Amino acid sequence: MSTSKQQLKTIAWWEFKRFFKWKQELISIALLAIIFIVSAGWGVITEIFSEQHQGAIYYENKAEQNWRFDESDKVPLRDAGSMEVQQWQQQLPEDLDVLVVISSNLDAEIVVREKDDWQADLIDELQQQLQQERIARLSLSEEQRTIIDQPPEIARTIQNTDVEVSSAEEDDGFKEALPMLVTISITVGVFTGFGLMMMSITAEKQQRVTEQLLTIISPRQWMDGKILGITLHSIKSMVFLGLFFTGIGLVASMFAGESGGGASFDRYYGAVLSLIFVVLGLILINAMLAGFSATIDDPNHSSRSSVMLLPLLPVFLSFSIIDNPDGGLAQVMSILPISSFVMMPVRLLQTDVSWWQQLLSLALLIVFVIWMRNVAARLFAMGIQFYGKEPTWKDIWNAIKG
Amino acid sequence: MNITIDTVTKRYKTVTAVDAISLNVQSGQIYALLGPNGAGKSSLVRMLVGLTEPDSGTITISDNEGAAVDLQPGHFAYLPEDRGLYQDRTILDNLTYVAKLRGLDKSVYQPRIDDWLEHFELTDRKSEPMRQLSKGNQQKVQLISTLLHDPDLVILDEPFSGLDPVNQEHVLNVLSDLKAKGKTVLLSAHQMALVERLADKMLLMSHGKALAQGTLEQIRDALQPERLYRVSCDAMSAQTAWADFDAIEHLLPISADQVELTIKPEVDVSELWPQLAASCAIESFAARKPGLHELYLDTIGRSKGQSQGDANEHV
Repeated sequence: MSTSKQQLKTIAWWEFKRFFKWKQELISIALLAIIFIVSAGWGVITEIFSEQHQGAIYYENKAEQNWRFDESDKVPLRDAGSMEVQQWQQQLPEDLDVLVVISSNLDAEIVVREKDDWQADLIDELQQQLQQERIARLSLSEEQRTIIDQPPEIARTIQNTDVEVSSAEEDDGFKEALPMLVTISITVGVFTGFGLMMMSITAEKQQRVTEQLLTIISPRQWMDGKILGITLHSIKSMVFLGLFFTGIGLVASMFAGESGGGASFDRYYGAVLSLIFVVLGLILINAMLAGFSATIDDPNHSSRSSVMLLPLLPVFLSFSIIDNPDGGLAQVMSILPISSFVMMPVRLLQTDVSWWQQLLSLALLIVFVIWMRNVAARLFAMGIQFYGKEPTWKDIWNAIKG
Repeated sequence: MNITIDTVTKRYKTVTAVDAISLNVQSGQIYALLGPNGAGKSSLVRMLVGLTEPDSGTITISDNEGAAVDLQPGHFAYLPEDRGLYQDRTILDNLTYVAKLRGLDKSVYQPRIDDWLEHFELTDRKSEPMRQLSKGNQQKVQLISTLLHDPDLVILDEPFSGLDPVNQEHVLNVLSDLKAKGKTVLLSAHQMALVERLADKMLLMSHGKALAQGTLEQIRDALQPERLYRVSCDAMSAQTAWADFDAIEHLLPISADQVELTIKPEVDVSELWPQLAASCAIESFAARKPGLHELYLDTIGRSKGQSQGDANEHV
């Protein structure tokens, strides 16, 4: 291996190890697991800690009505007499939270002291059961009832790809969630790079490490090594998150009794191409961040720190168009190099992307990465030697122009 | 390795940091750059190691046969004035990283690291993060990282700053050893007593300009030709008798029977002594050679005064 390559490897590995600490990684995973467990079990937790409410129900013309409300567990309803109802409608007693009055034409009134969230479930339940009972009293045939109970099935035919998507396929929860999970993973990777690159470079400037190293390695070698090391970190974060999601998916499918879908060439092709896009995208973003971080002296006092968030804008925007992978904006964003590393993998997961779009997008991304690496190297070389002050915008512009 | 700097000038906006400096460092010499803060020493050093480019003039590095050498990282060592290592990493991590960047094999750098740590009594602390070390110990680790690859040319910007006298002596011995091995050393420093013991040649700078250069003797001759004398005589009588002598620039009583005379440079001293002896008995007299510290203070003081005067004239 040539000295230059050996140096690049040394810098990349050093940058990776600088921020990789097993203890912290394990703590992060544990925290993630706790967050997931708490969110998954939130319903159970709220159930346990939810307050039990007491109610009463009164049916007008009770003798004629043989229908009874199937009360919920949360609000047990005892029967109320007509005398009590008149009194309770004015003032509920201490031991009652709600009074339900069912009219003879199957409407309902609820009487409460004040409006609260728990009443919404009771209202929903009342509406559903009363509606069912109203339908039942229409003397409809079994066939008519089935028609009313089941919403019509709507099939969608996509002319661009001649692929018919059945409603059953659309109900595949995992397939629906996958683009979102991929986008979240990429966002985590980008944010990891953002934080570490800024910390890495500004700390080196503050610790006065730069001058000695710059007589051993060139600014470009140093920046390239940094980009590789920090990109490795970004990928590591994404892999950890991916493994975590996969684990959750496996556990969920075990409980649901589903088997995983078989692997196909298309799946492998899409995964490999997506990986290429993501890695190139992370290199691109980290190169931009490296160049710009070098122009910042102190991240706590520099107004430029917020400008560094600009490259992250396309990542945020992609969240809003995940649901429409064939829309015009999604197609444009999947070709533009600044956003293609997020949008192309998302589209590849959801739809058939034409070959020319894949090729054009990949070619543009590669060209942009090479160009950005050169620009960032010039910015890095200029900015890394500024101590206690920052280069002006004019200096930055001149460095970008070369 | 030889260094030849020929009329090098560096300007930063309106400030001329280095103004037409020329010097020549021969292989195996220790050459010191002297001057107050802002004299231009670090600017000169940064051009020498390639961190900045001169606006005019040339810097040539040549081998012992005089052939020009393209200064590659492996050939030289540089200890910058603005220095530091990775504070959250251990001594060993930092040294290993620099060694690897310099392309050294583990079989080469590992014993060298062990030797240097032993030499600076840091072996027991090699697994501690840098931030836990005192400033002096951090300086030592930085010096080790600079010299680890056994370079032929060593360029040190303020190598003694931040060190206590014991460690200054340690570093001085290291530099003497380098000289003994035939290495070329260029350093900048404020510690005149150490430089006087160490340097073969020196350049005294102020406001980017060279005030004097050469060996200590040459500098002394250039800045203060033999005109400082210790005279054994009755000090009180001498003060009265010699008060009106134009040839005497300054008279300083040292004791009751000794004074120090500063004679104006243009005066012929051999003609002066009989005149002085006629008005006050002289037992003996001897030229006194000022030390580097004294020369430095005197010269820099005059240089500052001159600059102040120039500035006032411009106003």
